[in-house]
Amino acid sequence: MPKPKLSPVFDLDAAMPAMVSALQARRILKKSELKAFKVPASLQEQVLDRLVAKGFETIKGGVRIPLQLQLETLLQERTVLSGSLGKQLKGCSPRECKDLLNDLAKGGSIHLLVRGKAEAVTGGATPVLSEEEMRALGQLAVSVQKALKGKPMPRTLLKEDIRELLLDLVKPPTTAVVVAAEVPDPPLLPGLVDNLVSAAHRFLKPDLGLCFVPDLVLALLPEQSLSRIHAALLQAVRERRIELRPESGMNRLSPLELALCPEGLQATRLSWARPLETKS
Amino acid sequence: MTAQPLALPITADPWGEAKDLEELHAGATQAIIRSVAELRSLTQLGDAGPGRPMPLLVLGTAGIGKTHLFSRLRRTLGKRAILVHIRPITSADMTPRYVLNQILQQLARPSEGARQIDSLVGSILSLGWDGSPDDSAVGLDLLRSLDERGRNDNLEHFLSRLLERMPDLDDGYLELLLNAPFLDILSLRATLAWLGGQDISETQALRIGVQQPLAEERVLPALRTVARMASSSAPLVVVFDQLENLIQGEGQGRILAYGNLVMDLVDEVRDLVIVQMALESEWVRGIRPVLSLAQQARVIGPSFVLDMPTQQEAEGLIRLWMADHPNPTAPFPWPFTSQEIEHMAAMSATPRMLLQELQHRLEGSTATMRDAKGTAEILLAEAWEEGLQKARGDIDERDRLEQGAVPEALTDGLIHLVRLVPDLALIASQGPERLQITTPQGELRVALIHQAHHRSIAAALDRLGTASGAKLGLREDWRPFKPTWRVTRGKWEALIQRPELGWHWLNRKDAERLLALDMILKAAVSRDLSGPEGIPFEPSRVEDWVRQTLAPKEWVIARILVGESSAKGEALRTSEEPTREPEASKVFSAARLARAGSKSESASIAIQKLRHLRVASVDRLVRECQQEGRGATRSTLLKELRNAGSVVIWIGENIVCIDGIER
Repeated sequence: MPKPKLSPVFDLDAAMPAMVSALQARRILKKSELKAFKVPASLQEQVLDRLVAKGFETIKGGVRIPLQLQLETLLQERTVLSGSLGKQLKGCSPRECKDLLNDLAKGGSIHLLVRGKAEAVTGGATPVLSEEEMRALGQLAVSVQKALKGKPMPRTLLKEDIRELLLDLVKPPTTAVVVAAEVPDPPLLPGLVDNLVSAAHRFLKPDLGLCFVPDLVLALLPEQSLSRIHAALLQAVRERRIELRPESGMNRLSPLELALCPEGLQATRLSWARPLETKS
Repeated sequence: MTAQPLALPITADPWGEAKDLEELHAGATQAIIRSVAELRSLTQLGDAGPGRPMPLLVLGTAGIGKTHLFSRLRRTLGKRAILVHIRPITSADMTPRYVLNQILQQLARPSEGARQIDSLVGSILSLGWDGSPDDSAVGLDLLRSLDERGRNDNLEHFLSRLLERMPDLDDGYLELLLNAPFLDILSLRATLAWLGGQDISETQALRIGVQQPLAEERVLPALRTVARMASSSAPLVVVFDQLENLIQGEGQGRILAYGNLVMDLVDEVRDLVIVQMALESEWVRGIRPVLSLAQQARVIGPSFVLDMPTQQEAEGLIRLWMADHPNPTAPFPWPFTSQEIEHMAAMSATPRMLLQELQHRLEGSTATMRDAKGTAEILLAEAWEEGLQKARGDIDERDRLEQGAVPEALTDGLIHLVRLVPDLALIASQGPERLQITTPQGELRVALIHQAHHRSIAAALDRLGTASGAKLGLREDWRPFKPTWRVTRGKWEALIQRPELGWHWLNRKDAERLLALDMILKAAVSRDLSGPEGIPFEPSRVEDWVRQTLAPKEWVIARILVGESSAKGEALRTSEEPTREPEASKVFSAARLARAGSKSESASIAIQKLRHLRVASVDRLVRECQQEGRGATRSTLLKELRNAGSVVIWIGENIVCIDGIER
């Protein structure tokens, strides 16, 4: 008599990391896609619940990376976002997208821009004109129009007056220090800082107690975007779990290594990290 | 290098007085202090066995406070240790003689209110008489209160007791060292120079009763003697700073030689605390991989990577610096906000970055104005001027010791110059007498004849004469050969007749430039030269600035090395002795001196003295002027005499008298 075929027991815990990675890469994971991970139909709801518990957002028929986090990640990769944001943010309706932009703009986390004929979005830290400065420019536009319509001869404007006005508008900030509190860091995926600190211990040079940041970033890069790893590094510094150190060698970093290191104060590159907690 | 509204230096001076936040880098500080205490207690117990503290390694990024740590140690250890700060030389391997020289030079430096030589001898005397080694003044005061005979008897008795306990010490060397604090200033300088293995002049040798320079085979025993003597009372702490300067494009020899030096210190000298400091990136990638396994085992002891300041420490530093602000507009944390300080700490700001940010914030509009003028160029020009000032001071100081410019530093400067001039290239360098370069005419061996004693000069000339190929001898033009040095002069005159040998009297301006070049380029390698917004200048950027702004290929010494003749056709490679200035130069200088008139007392010290003496040898005039203690040096006095025009009449090269009419 042939033996009855036993269906293999599905190990939910073991399958979760693969689904989290897929979700991070695609930014959205639908219930129908869970079959690819061999999740039995009876467990699919449970899987979605677990993903939500890890910080992902529920959508109809699946989960997505939180919408605000998606936007902030895009803004870390590009200073200005133009074109249809509804297509760039995964798993959201146009209405949802519009509401999010308005809310964030009100809070100062982003700025809504006009560039030529198109509308665009930029981060809260990007220098933009204030309302007062916009008004000053508006007055200039009025003056230009008035001068051009002068009778019997069109008038003109003193170059020095225009230069002063424009210089005032584009002058650099009074300090090189950018205040962190004005620019809230993007919410990070749960567990990323833990993974990073754990990787820092793995790559530690035991005689120095330091690990080389490009090694650390490369180890995490297949699963995470560079901007998110850098954000996680800075978050770990704020939590006093690692210390980042500026590079001071003599042109020892290759262009790739330079790109992998986050930027510190005074345009330095933070090339060494030291874990500040003992490995658990 | 930037404007400093709080007058706080951006770059730490190891011998300066800096404001200090004690909790910063407390781990490394405590480890060094523990090593000093451990060595002291081991040697007080008479333990001659193994178990001395291993060399400590202190690593950190630029501006984190490595050099600052040295000044903290001076303050914290006080008279309980003798601190020696050594920066690497690039023209030659660092040897035990170089270390001995640096130790003895720095013994003359004051630290925490006393000369280090006084602390060293005073503490060993106090310990020998069953007092506390921490009370170094007691022993010295006791001996100073005695007459010379009484003091000598006591010192001899003390020396005998010391040798009974430590028979391996060099007794002749030890006797001179113990006597040093009781000598007058001229004898003390001569003694420390000789004990440091330097070549001293005949006058100095007569003054202290020695006939030969310290022989090579006595160097390590001498180091052991100083270290052993100091270890039970005020141990030697030798700090090798800015080790990244050992890394050179041409090879790894300097690093290996450094490894050998530290092995010698660990194995042969033993009773001292060694601290090594370097940029962490350069140590990890440029120095450590080059050291052999045997060297690594002896050179690398406990390692400390200096911490970046936490937010609390960043606040503490800013609070400390702002305590000097005469009129703060608002209470702390002005001129920052708490969020800004938190942000700077989170972005891994070093103490230097914090200080720069603070100064930028306080400078306000000044900084903007400076930006417009090309801040980078201004900062580099300021750094260069600072280097020149320091070089002038160093040359004057060495002149008082009857020595020329520090030969290793001058040779390092020559090497930098060779790298900057397109027609020249460095082949090898083995110290001031052995610099091998290529020139458009072929290979050339350059030898700096830096010695002070005529017999040492003669020996150096012999060595130069026997070298093969084209050669060029150099010596500072304010240190001509004296007419009484007949043998030396004979050798030199014979040598300069040889077609393959050129001779050049290095002028003071070039010497100052070479020393300043060495300082500015080494500072660039150590990331101690900060540009606009505090970003350190790349060494290549500094080299480009030197090339474009200072035109080193136009310096006389560069043109000599290239083998060029001057525009007027006269040979630049000249062996004419610098006893008389060219006529035009003399007229100009005399006119300038006349304009200066009697406004400056120090400017006419030589003439005043000569009016009194009427006729004198240059040596006597220099001696008498120096005894008046108005800071005159041989070179400034000679310059003054030469610039005096017809007021001074020269008889031969060494006798001067005042003109009869003028008198």
